[in-house]
Amino acid sequence: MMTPSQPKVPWLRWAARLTLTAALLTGLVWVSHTPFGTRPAQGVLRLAGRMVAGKVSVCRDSTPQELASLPPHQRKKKVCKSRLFSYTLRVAVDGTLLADDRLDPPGLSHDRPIYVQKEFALAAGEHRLALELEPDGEDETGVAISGPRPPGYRLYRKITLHPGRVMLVWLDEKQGEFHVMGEESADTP
Amino acid sequence: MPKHNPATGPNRATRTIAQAITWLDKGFSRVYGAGANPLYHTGPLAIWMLLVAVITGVYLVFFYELSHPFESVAWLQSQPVWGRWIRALHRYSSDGAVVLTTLHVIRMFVQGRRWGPRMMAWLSGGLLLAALLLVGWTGFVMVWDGQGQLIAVAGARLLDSLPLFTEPVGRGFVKPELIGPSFFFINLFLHLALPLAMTGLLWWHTIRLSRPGWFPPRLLMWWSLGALTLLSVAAPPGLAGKADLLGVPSPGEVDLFYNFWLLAGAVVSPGWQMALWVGLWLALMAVPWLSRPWPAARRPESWVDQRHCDGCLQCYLDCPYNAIRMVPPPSEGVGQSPGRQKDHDVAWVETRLCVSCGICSASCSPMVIGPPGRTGRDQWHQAAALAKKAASLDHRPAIAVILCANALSPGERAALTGPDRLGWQVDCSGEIHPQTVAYLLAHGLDGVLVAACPPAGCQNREGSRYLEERLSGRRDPGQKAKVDPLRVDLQWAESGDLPRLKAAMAGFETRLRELESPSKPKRGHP
Ligand code: HEM
Repeated sequence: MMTPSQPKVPWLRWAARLTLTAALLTGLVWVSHTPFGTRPAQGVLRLAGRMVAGKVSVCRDSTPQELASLPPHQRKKKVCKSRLFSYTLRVAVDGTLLADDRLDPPGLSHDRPIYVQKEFALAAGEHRLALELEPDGEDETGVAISGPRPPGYRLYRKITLHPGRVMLVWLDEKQGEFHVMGEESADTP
Repeated sequence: MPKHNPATGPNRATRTIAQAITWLDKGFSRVYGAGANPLYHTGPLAIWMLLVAVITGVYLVFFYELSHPFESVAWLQSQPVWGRWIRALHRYSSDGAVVLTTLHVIRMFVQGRRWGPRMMAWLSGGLLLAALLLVGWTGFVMVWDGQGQLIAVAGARLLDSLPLFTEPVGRGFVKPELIGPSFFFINLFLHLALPLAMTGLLWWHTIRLSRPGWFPPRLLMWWSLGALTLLSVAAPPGLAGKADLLGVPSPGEVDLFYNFWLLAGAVVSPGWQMALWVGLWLALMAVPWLSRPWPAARRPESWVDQRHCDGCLQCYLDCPYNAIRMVPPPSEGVGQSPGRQKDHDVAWVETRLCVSCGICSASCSPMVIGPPGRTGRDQWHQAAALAKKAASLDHRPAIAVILCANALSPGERAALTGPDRLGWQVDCSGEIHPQTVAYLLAHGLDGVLVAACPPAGCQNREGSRYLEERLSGRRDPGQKAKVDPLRVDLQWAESGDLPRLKAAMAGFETRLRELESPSKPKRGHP
């Protein structure tokens, strides 16, 4: 007898095959449909916006060494870099300060648009919202930025949050104001 | 990760996982039969699942509308046979692909198939896994229901934690008007292009193998397809409400096979999540370097004594890893018997592809190829020593017990051998030269019992199958060896099979005693 013994397949084996297959399929369905994410009781306040206004030149005097290292026709008394203003975002709900963030324009030269994207989970119901987005007169190192100051934006109003719904406060830079979306509940016809 | 030394064996954790796998293998083999054990065919089965997903996906895409993604899926969902069930089959076969790929990775890892010549398969496998998960991500986003919204927004947060994008990806999801057909077009494009890229990756994945098993055994294909079809009819996935960017996504349930990463979102920030997943993937990709054995502990690759190679091609045909080439014979003087210039090509081992399985040792009639110390000639010397021992035995029948190191644990191997059962351990049963077995039987041994891994479970892919074919004279050099089939007992064995093997041994001894009795023919071929 050289070939390995191949056990015969009795009906019990078929029953075992079916049972094991059924168990594996049950596991597959279960993991494929794992309960996740119940409907929240809270509402969400979402802030979003994009700011490109406020391009300024920040200049400083060239150092004698810098001047000496350049050919005479390239020597400039001042070195200037253009950049965008930084902003400070303040969010207060019902008198409680939820955010007080400095928003620096991204990019090596700080000349890329600032994107605001924030979410706050809050109890459903009525709230007093105070939102301020003000240009900051200093750069990241604390040096004052001279140049025409871009506008600041403010919103003070009552808002109503619904459970599981998002209220979006969207900055429209062109119109210079915040728009509010999603204040109505999902059930509102 | 500790480097493992084949001489001392894998570390404890790997051994524990290996034991668990053996236990599962045995259980599944008992139920489905070793030939149709899905655990032995995880790679090919994953391909089969992907193929089912591709075929059902091609059908579904005809109904998909970029301008109304959710509505088009909802319409499909309302059509039972040609909508809901096909969609379910698409989903469950994709889930199956993830399960099987995960099992495949674990298997390859614990079997040590992860470094050296296997490195390319490992790295392409890592890319395949990443591509598979990304295809899943785009698939769930396509539906644009609660689950789609949840993973789209969470995925955007992960991406935004990287300092890569000047405009945040998540900005696209802050209000409904920003998501439109162009987003769904890019998503659909990725959902179709990634599987195409996976086909190329799969080709790369198996390029180093001879005769890669792209498809599982037929029985397994139909069984798995039937089971998934039944499941699709009995429990098709539902559809959460339409995505609503002004609502907090709460799908109620998610598919954790693909969206397991959401779980980390409850605990850590997107930046840490990104670091975790990218770190884990990089660790997977680094496994071939981190876990390879120290050079001194690696088994040496095969070599050929080209002077005596008769150019029969058998080793070239048998090598499961495409590591043997036929090359023009060396010019006279260099590795050449003096005065004789060969008129045929000779075998040459490409060492960077050789995994030292030893299968070529048993392919070679003149016994001039194989890993050092394990060629047919080396085996012959060992056989001679064994035969000498057998001659000094009082006990009859004298049996040589050849044991594959991959099939049984050291304790089990020890339990099967003893003073009157002469044990011989081999690294893979595929290296057992049929002439060695014939030699043993001709030089004092009454029988030879071989315990080898079941063919589908052979860690060197084709070793057990070749062994069986060679011993039964169906594969060269087995035809020449003419092993007496009555005196050889080949047992497919896995760890835990000791009681069965002991019973088989007792039965074999009885048979051999009967063969020795005067009324029975002594030796020969029936
Ligand atoms: C979509 C996912 C995958 C599929 C469909 C797949 C499929 C396959 C197939 C069909 C084989 C050949 C089996 C044979 O003929 O012996 C194979 C081999 C292999 N796979 Fe995968 N694989 C996948 C993912 C992976 C991953 C993620 C890894 C590890 C990170 C991996 C590691 C390997 C290795 C190392 C081998 C070579 C085994 C050897 O040389 O002995 N695979 N795979």
